[in-house]
Amino acid sequence: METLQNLELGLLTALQWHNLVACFTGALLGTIIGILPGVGAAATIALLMPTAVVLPADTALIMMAGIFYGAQYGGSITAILVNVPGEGSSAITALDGYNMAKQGRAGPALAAAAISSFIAGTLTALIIALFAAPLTRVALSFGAPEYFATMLLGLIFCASISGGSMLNALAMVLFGIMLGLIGTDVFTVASRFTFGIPALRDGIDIVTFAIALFGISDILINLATGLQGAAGSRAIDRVFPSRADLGRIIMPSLRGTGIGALMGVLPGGGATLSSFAAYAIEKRVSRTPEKFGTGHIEGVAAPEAANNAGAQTSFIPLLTLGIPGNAVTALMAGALMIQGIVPGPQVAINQPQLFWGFIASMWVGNVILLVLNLPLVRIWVALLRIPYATLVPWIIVFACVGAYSVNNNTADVYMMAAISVIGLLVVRFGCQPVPILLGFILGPLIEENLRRSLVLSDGDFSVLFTRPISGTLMAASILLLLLMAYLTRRKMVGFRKLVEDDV
Amino acid sequence: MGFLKALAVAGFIGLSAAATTSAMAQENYPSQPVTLIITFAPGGGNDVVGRMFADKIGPALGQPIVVENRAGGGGTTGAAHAAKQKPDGYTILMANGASHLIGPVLFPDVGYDPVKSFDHAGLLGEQYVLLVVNAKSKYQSFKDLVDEARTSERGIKYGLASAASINTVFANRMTKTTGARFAPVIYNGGAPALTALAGGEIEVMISAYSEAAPHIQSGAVRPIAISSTKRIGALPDVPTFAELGYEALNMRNWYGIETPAGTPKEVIGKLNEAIRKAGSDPELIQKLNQIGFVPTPTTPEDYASFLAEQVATWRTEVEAIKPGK
Repeated sequence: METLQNLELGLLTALQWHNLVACFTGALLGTIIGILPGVGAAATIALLMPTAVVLPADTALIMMAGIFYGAQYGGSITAILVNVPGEGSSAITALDGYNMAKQGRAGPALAAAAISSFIAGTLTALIIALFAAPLTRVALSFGAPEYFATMLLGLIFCASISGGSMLNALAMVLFGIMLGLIGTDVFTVASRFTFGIPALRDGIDIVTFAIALFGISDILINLATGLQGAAGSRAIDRVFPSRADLGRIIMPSLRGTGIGALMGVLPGGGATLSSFAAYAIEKRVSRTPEKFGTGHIEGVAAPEAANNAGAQTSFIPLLTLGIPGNAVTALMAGALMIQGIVPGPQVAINQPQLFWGFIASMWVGNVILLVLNLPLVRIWVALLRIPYATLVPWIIVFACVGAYSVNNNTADVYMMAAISVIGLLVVRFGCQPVPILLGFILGPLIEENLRRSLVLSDGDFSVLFTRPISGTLMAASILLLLLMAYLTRRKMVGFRKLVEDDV
Repeated sequence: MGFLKALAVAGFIGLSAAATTSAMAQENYPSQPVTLIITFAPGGGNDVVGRMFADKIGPALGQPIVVENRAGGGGTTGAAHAAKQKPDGYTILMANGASHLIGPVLFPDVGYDPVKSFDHAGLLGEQYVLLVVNAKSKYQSFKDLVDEARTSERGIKYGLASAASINTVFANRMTKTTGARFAPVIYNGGAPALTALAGGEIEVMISAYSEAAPHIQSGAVRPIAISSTKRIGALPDVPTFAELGYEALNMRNWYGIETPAGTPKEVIGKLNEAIRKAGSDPELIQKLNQIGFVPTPTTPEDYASFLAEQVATWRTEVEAIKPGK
């Protein structure tokens, strides 16, 4: 009952005209910057800080949140159209989205992204209103061993994402882990794999990495092999998804929402990891896993729902504990502090209007995003009619701006150039770039949490198995490995039998 | 001869013209917006304090302050950038322990000297190291903690947000001064470390009021002692280490404003005036106190000698946290 009253207060706040304007501005701005590769939500919010500080606190917060989830959707537009993920969290959308665009189904892919984001956004706003407190307890019960076990399970789970040779995928995961370890060691401040280059001390930024590995190297490949591969070269059959497409979106969106809502609460990983997890799980439950990666609409809906849900639940630790889980929520915490409000649990009590208005605005914002983006799909798709040769320089310019704006540092632009070449070579050698990204993201987290677990347990490995959550997850990892080994063996036996029969 | 004379005259005119323009530039300072380099990402403690000050220094100078975040290298990337800018007072740097005491010792190739590469316009203020424990912890005082740490075999584990920060140096000092056993658990930033403390993964953490405040107010975390010379307004019941008999644990985490070396004296003077005006603004003081930050206005000369003294005295302690030591 109290929740209902609170939600009513929230809706009344969110629907005040100045807050509606802020929400609309944020969502629109977010979509636009999401489209510009690399110009992430964090950079934009940072630029808007001076404005945000003079607005009333609730209006500022609503606008910044709008930018954040707007960018989650906008980032998927370029991922689908030109294989350049605008945000780290839409890298996985590019797998099937871009292939759909290549087949002339860019419209349905974009619409699927918009609709699944909307489903996720609406449900997640409700989840936050109802379950913010219990979800916080989940986040608090996650210690280093739990993180380690989750990430390990994730890595094993995702190792099967990319088709092709298992050995190949594992090699790429390891390569990704090595790239991810570049930089200053968290525990000893030692520089690792930096070759004495100061710019490498902070490691490689994830957005820069994703743009280079997927977007720029794809351009290089297209330029090297002729332009047949580019999305614009195919005719566009239809702009809106068919009834059958819509039916295929629903379940993946719901599953994606669940995964995203849970993973978003964990600090650090949030939206990006949840999109990977949703994709991997969708592939597991699918009856046609082999279709993933070839332009399968489920492969767009699941990660898009997950990253949107994750983006929204990542506000939970900020709202209930005052802990910013990622760059964007850190900025929002900063803006509140400059206004003299210390974020944390007392905000909901002392300023219910701010707290609930913010939560209600998430739902309002998602409605705005859907209304804004469905009609725009037609325009985005029309972008593909621009000749590829004309588009390429623009993509590269925006990608450079994006990489530069991460830290206002030219070194990031050089890094992007270098990684693009690596991406080109990887594909040329017949390997997959996706496992590299996975290793890049998960590797350092796995290492950090394993080392911290062992510091906490005075070097006792059993801590990973004796705690209930991490023990369960470790058992799941082991079972999964055994299952994979069994399946591989059975295939081998079958293969041998075939050979023997032949002989 | 005539030619040389003409050349000399032309040269003289040129020189005096240059002199007048630069004199005029100083007199008119500031005639355009001033860029404030903050060496950490937007949203963090540095950024919040920097922006709060920028809002007040701008009006005092009569020109807006544009905040530019150049994060990286533990505060050294932004400082190195600032050191290379024109010394005209239009690029100013928010210096701190990370960029001036720790970075240059850990990484000798940062490309600037914390004292010689800059002119020192004035201190903004300081915050303090705050020792906090999980609310359910049995430690009620710093004494409880030290007593336990003296007798425990493996030492008491405490959380740290970074392996190379002011707080790391403080931790080493704490171990040395008390003669007790403490063992660090390093986290990748303040937020994950505080989550671990609130969730009970660690029982003790070396933090700062600005980051621990929400948890203290919610009751999840309890402050034990603070490194200021006298108690701070936001935590009137929390004793200082000095009160508890550990004078050596007085430690300030200061922030100051610097310009590239060679900035005209007049410009430094104007900047200092604006900083001091901002630092005495009651509204700003109140906001800063809320996050445990105390403005400490100084003259440029006092700041310069304070900084030189800090750089000299910290060196050995920072050497101790270098990798491989």
